[in-house]
Amino acid sequence: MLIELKGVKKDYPLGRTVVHAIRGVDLEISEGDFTVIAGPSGSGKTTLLNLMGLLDHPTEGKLFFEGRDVSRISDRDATFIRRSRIGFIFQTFNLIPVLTAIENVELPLLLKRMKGKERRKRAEEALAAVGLGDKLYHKPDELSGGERQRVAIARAIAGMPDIILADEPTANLDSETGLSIIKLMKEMNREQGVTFVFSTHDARIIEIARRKIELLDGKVVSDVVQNSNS
Amino acid sequence: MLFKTAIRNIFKYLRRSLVIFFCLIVSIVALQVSDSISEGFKRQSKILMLESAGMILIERKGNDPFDLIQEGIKNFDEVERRIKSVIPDARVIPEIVAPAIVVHDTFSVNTLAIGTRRESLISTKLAKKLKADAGDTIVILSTNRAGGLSIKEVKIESVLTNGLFTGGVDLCIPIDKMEEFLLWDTGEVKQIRVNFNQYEKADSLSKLLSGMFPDLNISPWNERLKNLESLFRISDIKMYLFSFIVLLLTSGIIMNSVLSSVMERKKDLGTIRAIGSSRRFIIFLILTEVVIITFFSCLAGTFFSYIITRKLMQVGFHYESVAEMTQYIPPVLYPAINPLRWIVDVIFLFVWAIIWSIYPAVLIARMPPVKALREEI
Repeated sequence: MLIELKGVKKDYPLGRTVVHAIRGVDLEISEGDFTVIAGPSGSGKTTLLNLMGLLDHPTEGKLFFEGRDVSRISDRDATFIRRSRIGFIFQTFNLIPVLTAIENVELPLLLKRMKGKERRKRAEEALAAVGLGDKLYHKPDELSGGERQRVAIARAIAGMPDIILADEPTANLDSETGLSIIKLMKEMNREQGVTFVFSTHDARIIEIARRKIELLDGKVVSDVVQNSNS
Repeated sequence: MLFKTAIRNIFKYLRRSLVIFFCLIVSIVALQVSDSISEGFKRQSKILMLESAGMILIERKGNDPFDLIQEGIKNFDEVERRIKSVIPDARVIPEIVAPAIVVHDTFSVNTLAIGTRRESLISTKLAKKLKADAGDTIVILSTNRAGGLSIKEVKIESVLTNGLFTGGVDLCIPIDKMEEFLLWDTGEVKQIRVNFNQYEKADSLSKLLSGMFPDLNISPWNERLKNLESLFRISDIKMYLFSFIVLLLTSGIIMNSVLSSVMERKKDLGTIRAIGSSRRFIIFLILTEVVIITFFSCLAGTFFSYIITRKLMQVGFHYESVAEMTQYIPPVLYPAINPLRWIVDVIFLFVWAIIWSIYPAVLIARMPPVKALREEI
């Protein structure tokens, strides 16, 4: 089991009130999964992904990463796991604007202290894999939304993580581009065995996923394995 | 890549970078130029003080400067000639404190011969008290070296307004008249001040003169004025105070600009944290930017400091009116560049800029990535 959540709750203080973003979630993510977390806005999708990605700590409950309890993990250890085992794709791409496409992809490899030549080679391969082999030296503002998200995917896969967490990766893309991005992710899942967990509320994309977890008001209301049609 | 990213960030957030850049330039110019003015003041005042006290002082062994009956150095002309033979640029000044105490009313005055030795001076204070002028006759009551008492009428030869005494007039009386009642050998001097162009050589030249005049006591300035540097401490304290104010203003601007800059790209830094960067990497990234800006600021600042100081060295600061009141302030003050001080200024500003950037850098590095990622620009 790659990730396991047991009775996880996450509360946020909001002024004088407390927002219960996640209200006791039990969940398991296995290696090779291609899982979508679906649900309306405010259902807790992003919070759940942040918890899985060790970007945040649960208020209650236990979170395990490969069997290790990481519920109260230190910042240093969480950073190490994120750097070496987890890839991230964000809704707003979150590319570093001053870096070119290849430099953006190289960044997590640099953080892993990979040597210059190997780093560059790996980044080139990752960008080629997402179909951007000819736009290595373009800066984010010179790329379209779809291309930026592809760079973000390349950045996530370049470090060969065990799991990639994608928070609404298609939200800022038109439907066709969004669909192509999800298909690309699915292809990588199938060919390279990369585990993907992504959130969306786009019905067409939800259909593609092998497993669908539906969240509502911070609770898992359904968790089904579906016959996906890619 | 860290360096490359830092440089690109500097240009992306150019406005804030320029604020820091110009702030640091102003600071380094303020520090270096004020240092140069202080240095110039110290150097010139020091030379004036040393010339007044004598870079090398020659006196008889066992000389008591307050014992005016005690015998002085004889044959001044010969001594002067021998000194000039080894120190060609020497300015040999006799201190002919008259071998007698001259008194009038309640005033004790020393007579002093000036260079030409055609006339002798008595003090300004006395002149003021007497309201005397050239042509007037004054009565001087004196004790001579033998201990006897003399009363002498002396006609004032002339009045000097720019003599050795400042702040008033000096009365000049004929030297032969002084000799007459003081039984004074004009070839005899109490002390000899030797000044020359490079006061740093006083030690070695003293040794040379000691070999030539074994019977005389020859002392370089640094043996006599051991605490001279402490005299300039007030000037240094003023400088430090000024520097502190400059640095305080600089620190505020630097911290505010760096803080604004990092807050503006909270999301980018949060992303870098999310994909696995340590806090240290974020701190290094921000400090690298500050170091690059500071480096170029210091280069540009030092260049401007040099231009400004050179210009001030040509023009100078005029203090004639103040200089009239004291002999230790130069009438025209010229700044002087002390390269070591300038380097210290640069190093200090470097460290200062880094210190005040640490807080914003640590603040953003310690922010949980999830919080930073929530920021929308």
